[in-house]
Amino acid sequence: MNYTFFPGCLLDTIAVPYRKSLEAVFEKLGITVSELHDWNCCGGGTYFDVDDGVCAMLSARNLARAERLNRELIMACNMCYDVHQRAHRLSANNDDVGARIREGLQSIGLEYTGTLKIRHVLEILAADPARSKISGSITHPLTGLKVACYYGCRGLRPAGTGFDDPESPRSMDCIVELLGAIPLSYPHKTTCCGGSLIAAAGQDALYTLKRLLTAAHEHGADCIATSCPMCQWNLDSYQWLVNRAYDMKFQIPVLSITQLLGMALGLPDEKIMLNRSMTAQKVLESGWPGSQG
Amino acid sequence: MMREGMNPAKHVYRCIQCGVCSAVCPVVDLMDMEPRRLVGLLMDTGVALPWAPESLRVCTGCYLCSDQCPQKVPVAEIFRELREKIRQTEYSPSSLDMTDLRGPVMKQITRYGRLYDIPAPAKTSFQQFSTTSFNKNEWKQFQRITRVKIRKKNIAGMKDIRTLLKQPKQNTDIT
Repeated sequence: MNYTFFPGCLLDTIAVPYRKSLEAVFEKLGITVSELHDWNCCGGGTYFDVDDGVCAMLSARNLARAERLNRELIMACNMCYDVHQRAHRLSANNDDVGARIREGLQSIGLEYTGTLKIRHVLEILAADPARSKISGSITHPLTGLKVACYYGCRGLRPAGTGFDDPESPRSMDCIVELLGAIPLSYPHKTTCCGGSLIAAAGQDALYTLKRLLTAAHEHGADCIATSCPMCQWNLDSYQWLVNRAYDMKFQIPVLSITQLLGMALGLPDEKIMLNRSMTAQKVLESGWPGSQG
Repeated sequence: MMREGMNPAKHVYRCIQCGVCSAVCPVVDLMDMEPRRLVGLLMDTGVALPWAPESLRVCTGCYLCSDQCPQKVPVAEIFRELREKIRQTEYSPSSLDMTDLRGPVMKQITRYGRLYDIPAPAKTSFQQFSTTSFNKNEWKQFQRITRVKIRKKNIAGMKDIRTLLKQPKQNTDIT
């Protein structure tokens, strides 16, 4: 199985462990992912709210170039996924918006016909052939590890455009089950983490994270698994700020789903990079009930 | 489903003011005008915006309001379009410019075609915590993970990006 991979800006900056673990996991599973050559920013965090058309055109450049390769395009970031899916839909519109995108692409000598399949990493991992490959290659089952699966918002909404059910998604829970761990019935699976609002509004916005962390804690989670670099970053690197702001003592490890997979597949730490995180290494240090022996 | 990109604000007249959008909004506590009232205002003014509420900046665009609306009012799309509008007019409030990170981030796209300086937001929110005492180990680890060594490099297709950014803008219904 071959896929074209669109990493997105976050996976090259604040979410390097997500990228490294993702590549290592796919390699271990024998699935080839080749990075889309010379990709550009999808415009999600920037032009999306400033000029929707520009945002769609930037994404459409990636789509048009990926379409030529005749492989499915996979994304690891919820924002990139949503923005590219949106550009894919808008470019087929028979109106001004669609026309603007098509003209934009034409001006740089590209064309997008809409045959490309855009998919999320989670979707790939939860379905065959990856699924059966995972169950066949687990060497270090995460028996007894209680995982709060956190999907985030933009990969699943607006309804009908996402890769899973927007209200009770299952794909990550399936993967977690495969690994021998226990997926919790976590109520905030698709609640927004606050995204870049936390960077803009600072302390005021931390309560969005407090809500997610409190629920995970109350449900007895040993860790939170994420499938989006932004969610991962917020829950992990700002957890101690939440503790300061609300006088809490959260120490919940936050891992990307590919890091969890990497642990179960027995990948070495330099490949899954648990040490490049505020919280994740605690999973290894203190273990969890059932991790001994 | 409503077709996207087709002036979503004209769908406000379907609103029955039930308030589900406000009830489900994860960041409504930070808003000066909750989604229900903002949609109501748009109905009253004939889809004009007399001023720019802070709510527009606060919205994270998670689409929960649109998904849960019984009348299928595309609330999040409307918020997005209003944001787009206020960023293009002179009446955007000063607080919006102060905390808005998009300006510097957009410059990176014009320059490199990708974003490289993402840890910048982390530093911004840190300034508000500077008076609190930090645990030394946490602070060290935080510095370690936010320091990312990347060689900033233009993508080869910068000419494409510049051409796309120059494409003329189309008009919307909101005044």
